[in-house]
Amino acid sequence: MNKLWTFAFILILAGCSDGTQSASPLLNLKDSQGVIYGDNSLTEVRDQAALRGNPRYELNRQASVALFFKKDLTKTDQGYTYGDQTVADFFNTCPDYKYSKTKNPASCSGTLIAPNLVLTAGHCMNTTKDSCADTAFVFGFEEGTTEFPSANVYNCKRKYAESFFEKNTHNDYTIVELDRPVEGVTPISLNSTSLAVGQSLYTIGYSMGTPKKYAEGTVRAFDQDSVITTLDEYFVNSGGPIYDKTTHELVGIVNGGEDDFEMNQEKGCYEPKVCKEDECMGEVMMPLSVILQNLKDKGLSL
Amino acid sequence: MAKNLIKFALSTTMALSVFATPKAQAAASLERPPQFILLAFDGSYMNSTWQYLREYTQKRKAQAVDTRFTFFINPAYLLYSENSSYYTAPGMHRTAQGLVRNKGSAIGWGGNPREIEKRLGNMNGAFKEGHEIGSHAVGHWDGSTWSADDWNSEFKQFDAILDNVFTLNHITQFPLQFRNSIVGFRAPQLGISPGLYEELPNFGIKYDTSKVAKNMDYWPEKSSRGTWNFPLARIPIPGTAKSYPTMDYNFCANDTLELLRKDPSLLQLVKVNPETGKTKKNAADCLSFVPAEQKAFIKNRMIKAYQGYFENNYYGNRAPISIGHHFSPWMDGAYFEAMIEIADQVCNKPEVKCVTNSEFMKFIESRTPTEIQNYRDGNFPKMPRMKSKPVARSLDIALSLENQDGILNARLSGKDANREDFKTAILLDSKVIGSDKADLQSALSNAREGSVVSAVVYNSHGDEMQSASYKVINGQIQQQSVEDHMMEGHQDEADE
Repeated sequence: MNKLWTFAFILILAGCSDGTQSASPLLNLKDSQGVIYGDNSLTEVRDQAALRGNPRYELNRQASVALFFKKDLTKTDQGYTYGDQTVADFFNTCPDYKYSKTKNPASCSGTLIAPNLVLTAGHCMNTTKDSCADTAFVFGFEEGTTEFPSANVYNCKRKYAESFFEKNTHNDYTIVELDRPVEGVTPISLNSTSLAVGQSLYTIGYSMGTPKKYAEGTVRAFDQDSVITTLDEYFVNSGGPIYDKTTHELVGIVNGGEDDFEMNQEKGCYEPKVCKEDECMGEVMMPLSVILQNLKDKGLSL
Repeated sequence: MAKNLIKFALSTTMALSVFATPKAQAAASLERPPQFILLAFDGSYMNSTWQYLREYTQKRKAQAVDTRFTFFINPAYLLYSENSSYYTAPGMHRTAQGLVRNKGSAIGWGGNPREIEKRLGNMNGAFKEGHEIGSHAVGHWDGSTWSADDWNSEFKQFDAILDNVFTLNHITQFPLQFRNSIVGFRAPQLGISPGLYEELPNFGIKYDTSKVAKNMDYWPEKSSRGTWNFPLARIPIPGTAKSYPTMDYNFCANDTLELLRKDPSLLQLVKVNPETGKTKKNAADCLSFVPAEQKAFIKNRMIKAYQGYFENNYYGNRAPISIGHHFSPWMDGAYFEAMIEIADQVCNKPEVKCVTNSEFMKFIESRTPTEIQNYRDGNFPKMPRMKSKPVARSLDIALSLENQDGILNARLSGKDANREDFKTAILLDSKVIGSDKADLQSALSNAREGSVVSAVVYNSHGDEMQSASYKVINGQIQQQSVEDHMMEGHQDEADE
């Protein structure tokens, strides 16, 4: 069955890429730790010694934007600040978990793809009756940031494009037009690229709602119009960009995956899930090629 | 002993979490079941609301989204003052003074024959459009003390009113297309008794939706009498330690206590009906009107609670989601609007079926007991969980109010009970009379009939995290909290 899905995926990609595809998506399974597939790669973006200073990585890092529910932002004289809620408050994680005491105000992740356009997941922009009015887009939310200058905070003017499970597809993206062009950030260019099992990837997002994080993984399998990865993702990574680790090209966005936590019955709190890799479902990526094709079908350009 | 003369316990501790209970994750060959969303309304009086809901379904259908409802009707709304004696209410109901014989209808009658004719037309039209018509008994009496004979009388009269509705109201006859398709029942006020379950099969009722499951992920069972148990659910209110049944009135009763503790003047609000000029007062048990700020607060809270319920089951064992509302626009329509917004949010999602209870019954009857058990245990490939921010987790705080030698003590337990940023207070109506202790006699001497003595846990923003509220009746504090009363009679078991 999985091979059939792989085949279907190859056909979808065939029209928009010259990529090589693997026909063995389920090979090379190895033990891992739930959403932390293999070694834990979740770090602050600035702690990526090997990538730090790489101009493409730095551009990708800057283009990452955090989505906030406006109700979670408080206006100050200088800009905006946020509340005291922590990862432990929200998820009941155990006190000894590294991020338990970290504040977690963000709600989703996204990427600047044109001076005034942000790409994110469809489900990030369909959580309230008027998500456009209820959502703020914040650039520069990194470790140590406790206040955002007003210049870093943008509003949604309208949804420029969206496919949210339309016509029984699994499409799940929204492109948001901001209220003004973003200053000082270079948008990420969108080029349809190939994908192959084993390909190294990384994502930049706001894991659990905390300041901008880096996480990596590989392509594990193809499943209908989605790609399964082993990225170390958490809640709030949704909508975040997924890049090829070698070329730093955008290849897709985060959609969903395995439960992040499981209850430690003894401690009465949650810890990152630990399981064998073949017991976990992997992390679902919506490929950029599918988004580009959908935009083309809608007659939209960027 | 003076100690424990009055002892109340609020048993609202639950295994509260936004996360699904860990299940066996064997890669079973069993296909993942659809996520059924069962949205229902009780009573169904207002023709304008019938019209709105029918049009809503048509509008969503045009958008390729199937959203249909189950309407549990009261034939008291098919009688009017001049023919209302056709119905004789059986049994008794509970009051502060004890059991009182029922008389007439607990919810009034159906207006005039023209309104009744229109209502019947709406029922018929809705049925033809794919909605389901079920039974909510006749007079909306609490049947929790009723015998089998009482229920038998009620159901016979339910049938008789429908069979004679045209002649009774002197209106033009048309075929009642739903007449022989009534297979579901919800007890008014969720008031059930063993006699109910003896009688349901005798009147063609195949499923009952009067109970409230303790857990959100309950998969229905069939009773030994052959009646399916499709309960509502007790769901956590995200970010708090509270939990309510998935019924708007139960939310309203609890929210009303909370809002009145903050602002007792809300009870004085009145609204003038522009058509009749009549003035309507707010009711103390469930507010009809509130300012916009309070309406937004409770509406958003219900939406979050239902989102949490959906996430728990959609990414979990796919137990059906069951929500029961009324046409009544309590809290200025906050709950009604919340239900529609939830339908907007979830009914278009993959593998979701927002359909009638009887369609769900067809599904479950098409499955073997083994398959249903595997669904219950979550033995199927799970849906990947979307990685946006989920609803906030719920807290674990149990609250009890005990009388020890004339001192009221608020007692907390649970994992979140000892948080330094939380504060406890004991209130008489809206007035704080102590932190975790208060003098009982002083409280009673300042109370009036219907006053509420509450123990409340607040967070640092002054939001209620947990509450236990007791009414003062006949000069005494009631032994059962309102919160517990709202959960009364609720059980998972299919057998009574």
